[in-house]
Amino acid sequence: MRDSIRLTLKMHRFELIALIAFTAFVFVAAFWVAGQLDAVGYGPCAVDRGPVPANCESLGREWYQIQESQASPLFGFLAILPFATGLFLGGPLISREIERGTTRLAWSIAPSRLRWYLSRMLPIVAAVAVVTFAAGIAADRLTAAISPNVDIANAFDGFGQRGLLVAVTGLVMAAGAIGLGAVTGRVLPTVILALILGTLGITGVTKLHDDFTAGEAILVDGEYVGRGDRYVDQFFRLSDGRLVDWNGLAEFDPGAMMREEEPNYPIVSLVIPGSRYREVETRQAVVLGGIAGLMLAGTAVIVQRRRPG
Amino acid sequence: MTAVLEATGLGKRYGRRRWALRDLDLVVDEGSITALVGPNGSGKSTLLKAWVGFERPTTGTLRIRGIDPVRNRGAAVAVAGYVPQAPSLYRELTVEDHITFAAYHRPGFDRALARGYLDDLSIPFDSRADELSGGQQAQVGLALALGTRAPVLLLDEPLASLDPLARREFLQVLVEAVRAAGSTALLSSHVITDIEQACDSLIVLGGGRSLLAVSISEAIAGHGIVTGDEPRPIGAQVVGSFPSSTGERLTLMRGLAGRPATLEEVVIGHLAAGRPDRPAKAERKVAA
Repeated sequence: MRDSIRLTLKMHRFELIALIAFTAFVFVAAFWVAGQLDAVGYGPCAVDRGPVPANCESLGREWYQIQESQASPLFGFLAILPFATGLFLGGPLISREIERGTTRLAWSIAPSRLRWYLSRMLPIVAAVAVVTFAAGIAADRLTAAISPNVDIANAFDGFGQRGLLVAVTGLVMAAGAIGLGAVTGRVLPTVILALILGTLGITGVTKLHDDFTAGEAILVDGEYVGRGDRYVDQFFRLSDGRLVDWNGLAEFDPGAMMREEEPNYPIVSLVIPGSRYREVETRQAVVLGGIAGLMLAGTAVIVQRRRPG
Repeated sequence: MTAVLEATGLGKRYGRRRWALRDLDLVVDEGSITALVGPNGSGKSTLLKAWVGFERPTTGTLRIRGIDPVRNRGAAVAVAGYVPQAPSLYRELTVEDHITFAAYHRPGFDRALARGYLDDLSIPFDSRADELSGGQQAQVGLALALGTRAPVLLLDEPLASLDPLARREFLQVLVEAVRAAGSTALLSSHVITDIEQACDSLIVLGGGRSLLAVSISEAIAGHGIVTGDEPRPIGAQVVGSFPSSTGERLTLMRGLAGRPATLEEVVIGHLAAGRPDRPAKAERKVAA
């Protein structure tokens, strides 16, 4: 088993070294920039109510300067990483073997193609998980630094762009790329197709999950959305207790729209409390992880039936 | 003789119209080294791949040591050692890595045997596959196939890209290994002189069909060549006509007619006869 893992990693050492080096750089940089942001001491200034220290303006300038010049590019890299890792490690896994003809050697030696597939796939999927999970941790740390006074374990700040979901996004991309590689048998079309289909797929699943989660939102009085809560929608509460949006209000009280001042109806907000962050994150991760698992299982079937090229 | 490789009514169609193999009936006996000869596109590679489950027949059945590779590919692969047409080594891995790879995936793989063959040829174990010459890569492919200790070896034009010395070394290793292990080998090739030295049987494929399947000695002894307008002996059967390298018209005859045919002439004569739209076809009749 150890030999097999070593050989698989050796076959992909260029991609692995490049991605691990890039991730290590982003990881260290994220923690360093987070430390810089913490060191500014902007936390006491980032409050919604109450008095703020006198030097908040200068602190704010420095804090935003670090955020814009250093944290934002790092967030960009961290957003790309799960896609790049999934594509560059997953894409060539089978497609390159078929393209170069090494499957003819491998499948004529190995009576069990399933064993061959598992020996090739598992180390790469594990590597994707490790690399993208490290990216998720770095994104968590950076999110905590740009959200002072927020407990990010109980907050939707940066939802989907940090923590477990970064790792799962990487796994979905890798699983899709591995599967497409087994179908096309060519590296470049695999990477291009996986990028398009993977992005569309993840966006679609995330949208569906968002819609599902919105159905679980609760009403809170007022426009205020607590720090870490996830805003879903806002309504006016009519005198008969009904909740309506601007269009509904225009139908109910056309005059309210004509007045210059804000409509005199209480506003209620639909939110998902930040305390549910872990639960929602885990649920989305399970859905995406399940899809990745299904794609990997489907690839096993393709490998069983495919010509070696 | 026990049949180790069998094909019955075998057909393989690519797309809607192109038949690579059609109604092929074939038997390869145990312990033989058989040459599979035919022009490009005659279905040699398709046939060899079908026996290791790489191609699914469109019609007919296949057996390798009694195993149907369509129904039980794993078992079919387990009794076969296959050497693909082009060297298919992992360019990032060393020779030693390939042996480790084979030992991991193939139960009973004989590391010492594979290493021994490569050691005899002074192929460095720590060299990456892409650092080896074409001949060395072919030898590594052969050593891996031999290391499986498979009772049947299927070699798909392994000599195609090799220089004469490399071809000779390759065949020497192959013949010694097959004779020592008592295994069966089916080797597709274009190089007739090599076949003559290494093989004991011959199958000529043309147009997806078997045109000739005999022992090498029978192939040579059973054919003669008549040159130009030389009179053809009564009762001798014309197989096919083809030009010699000097432009002279040669006619391959069955039986003792004219001068003795070389193996190359036997093969070319049968291939010429197998082409449906060549003049040789029209001449295929019993000579008066």
